[in-house]
Amino acid sequence: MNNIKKIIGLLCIILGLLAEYYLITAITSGSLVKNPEENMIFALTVIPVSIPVILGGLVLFGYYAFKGEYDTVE
Amino acid sequence: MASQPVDNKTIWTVIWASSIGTLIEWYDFYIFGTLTAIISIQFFPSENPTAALLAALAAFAAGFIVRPFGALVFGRLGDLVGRKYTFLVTLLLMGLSTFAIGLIPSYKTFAAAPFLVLLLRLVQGLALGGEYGGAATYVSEHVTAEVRGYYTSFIQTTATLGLFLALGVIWITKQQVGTEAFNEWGWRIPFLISAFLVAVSVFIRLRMAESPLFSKIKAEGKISTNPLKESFGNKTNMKMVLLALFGATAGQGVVWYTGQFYANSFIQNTLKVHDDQRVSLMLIAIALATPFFVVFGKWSDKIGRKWIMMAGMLIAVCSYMPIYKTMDSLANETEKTLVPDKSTKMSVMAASTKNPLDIITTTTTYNTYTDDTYIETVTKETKWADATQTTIKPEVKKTVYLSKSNYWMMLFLVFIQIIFVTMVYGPIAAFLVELFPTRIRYSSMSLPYHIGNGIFGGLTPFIATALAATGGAARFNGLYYPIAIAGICLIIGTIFLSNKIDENVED
Repeated sequence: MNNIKKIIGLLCIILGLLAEYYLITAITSGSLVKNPEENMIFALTVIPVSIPVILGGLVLFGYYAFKGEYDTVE
Repeated sequence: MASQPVDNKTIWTVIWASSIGTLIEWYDFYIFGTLTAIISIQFFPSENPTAALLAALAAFAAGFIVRPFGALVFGRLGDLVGRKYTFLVTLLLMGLSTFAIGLIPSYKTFAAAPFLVLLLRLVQGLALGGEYGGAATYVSEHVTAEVRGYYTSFIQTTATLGLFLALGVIWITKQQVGTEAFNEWGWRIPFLISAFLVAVSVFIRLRMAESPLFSKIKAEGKISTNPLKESFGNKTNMKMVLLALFGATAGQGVVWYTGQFYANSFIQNTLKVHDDQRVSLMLIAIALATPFFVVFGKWSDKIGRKWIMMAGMLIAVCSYMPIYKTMDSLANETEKTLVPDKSTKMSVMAASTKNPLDIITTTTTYNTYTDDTYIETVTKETKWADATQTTIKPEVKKTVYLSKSNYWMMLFLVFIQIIFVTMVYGPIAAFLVELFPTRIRYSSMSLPYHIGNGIFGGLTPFIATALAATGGAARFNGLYYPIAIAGICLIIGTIFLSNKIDENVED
C-alpha cells in the first residue's frame, strides 16, 4: 500500500503541474472560453486561486505522499 | 467524548441553535445566486446583457472564492476567543449584508450600485467561510463518538435546506406579486426577509453556552496562541489539511454543486423547462432527499465515515453522464415524435415601437409530441424599413412543458443526484472534526471545507457552463469537470483515508 501511495504522490505532482499549465494556457489563449469578457473573469478568478490550491496544495500533497509522509497516517 | 456528559435536551437545543443559524446563512448566500439574472439587470449596466450576467457571475464566483479567507479569519477567531461568539459575528455579518443588498437602489439611479453589491457579496462569502466550521465544531464538541455522525448531520442538512428555502421564498414571492413586479422590485423581498430570520437566530444563539471542550481547554490555559501557524505552518497538521481537501472535501464539493446547482441550471438553461415545473421538481427532490443526510450521518457512526463518502463519489462519477443524457432526452424535441394534429403555428405582425416603419413578426409554435411533451417556441423577427440596416438574428424563446411521466422521471433523476450529495456530505462534518485537535479545530477544518466546497464545488456551474458552451455534442462536456475532480478525490480518499472513528476528540 505504501508503494501505491508513493506512485499516487508522483502522479499528483505531475497532475498538479499539468493542470496548472493547461489552465493558464487555456485561459490566456482564450481556448477554454471564447467570450472575451467571460475569459477575463476566468483569468482574474481561476488563475490566482488555482495557483495556491493546485500548485501549492496538490503538488505539496503529492510531494508528501511520495516522500512517504502518509505511510503511517491512521 | 465531551468533558462532561451533556443531557439530551441540551444537545437538541445546541443542534437547533446551530442549525437554524447556518440554514439562514445558506439561505442568504443562495438567494443571490438564484437571482443572478435579475440582479444583473438591476445592478450592472444593461447595455450588454451578457456582460451584465457575467459581472453578476463574477460576483457569484467572488462570493465563493472569498470563503476560504473567511475560514481563515473566523477560524482563527473561533480558536482564540471561542466558537459561540465567532459564529454570532458571522451570522450578523451575513444578515446585515444580505439585508443591505435588498436596499441598494438600482444602477439606473445609483452609479456605485455594482461596486457596493460586489462588496456586500464579498462580505457574504467571508461570513459563510466562518459559519460552517463554527457550527460543526460547536455541535460535535457537545456529543460523544457513537452519535457524532448522527448529530452533526443535522448541520449538514442546512446547506440543502437553505437552497430549498431560497427557491421556496423566491417562488412564493413571485406567485404573490407577479412576475413583472417581482423583476421590478419584488426580488428585494427575499433579501429583506433575511433581517427577521437573522434576528431570531441571533436571539437563540445568544442564550447558548460556549462549547464544553473549548471551555475546558480555555480553563486549562491550553488555547492556541497562533491557530493559523499551528494549523498550516505545522507539517503534521498541514498533511491532514491536504488529505482532508484532496481526499474528501474537493470531491464532496463538486458532487454537491452538480447535484443541486448544475442540475437546476441544466434544466433551466439547457433544457428550457418551464420555471414552475423546474422549481417544483427541485423543491420536491430536495425535500425527499434531505432526510438522507441524517440517515448517512447516523450510519457513519456504525460503519465509519470513509466508505459512505467514497461510495457516493464512485456512484456519482459513474452515473453523471447517463443521468444527464436521460434528462436531456426527456425534454429534447430532436429525440421525440411530433403529433402534427396537436401542433399549431401562428404569426402576428406589428409595427415596432421604436420605428413604426419597422415590422416585427412574432411567430408562436405550439408543438405536442407523442409522449405528451409540449413545447412553445416564440420567434421574434424584425424586418427593417431601411433595407441597408444589418439584419439581426431572430430572438427565439423556447419553453418546454414536460409530460406528467417525464416530469416525475426528471424529478427522480435530480433526487438520486441529491442522494449522492447526502452520501458524501452527511458524514463529512464528523469526519473533519475527528481529524483535528480542539485547540485548532475551527481553523483547520474550515479551510479545507471551504476550498473544497467553495472553490472546487462553487465554481462547478461556472466552469461546467464554459466547457459546455461550445454547443452541439459538447453539451455534456461540462460534466467532465465534476467527474474528474470527484474521480481524483475518490482515488486519494480510498487509498489514504482511514475509516477509523476517533473515539476521543478531546485532544
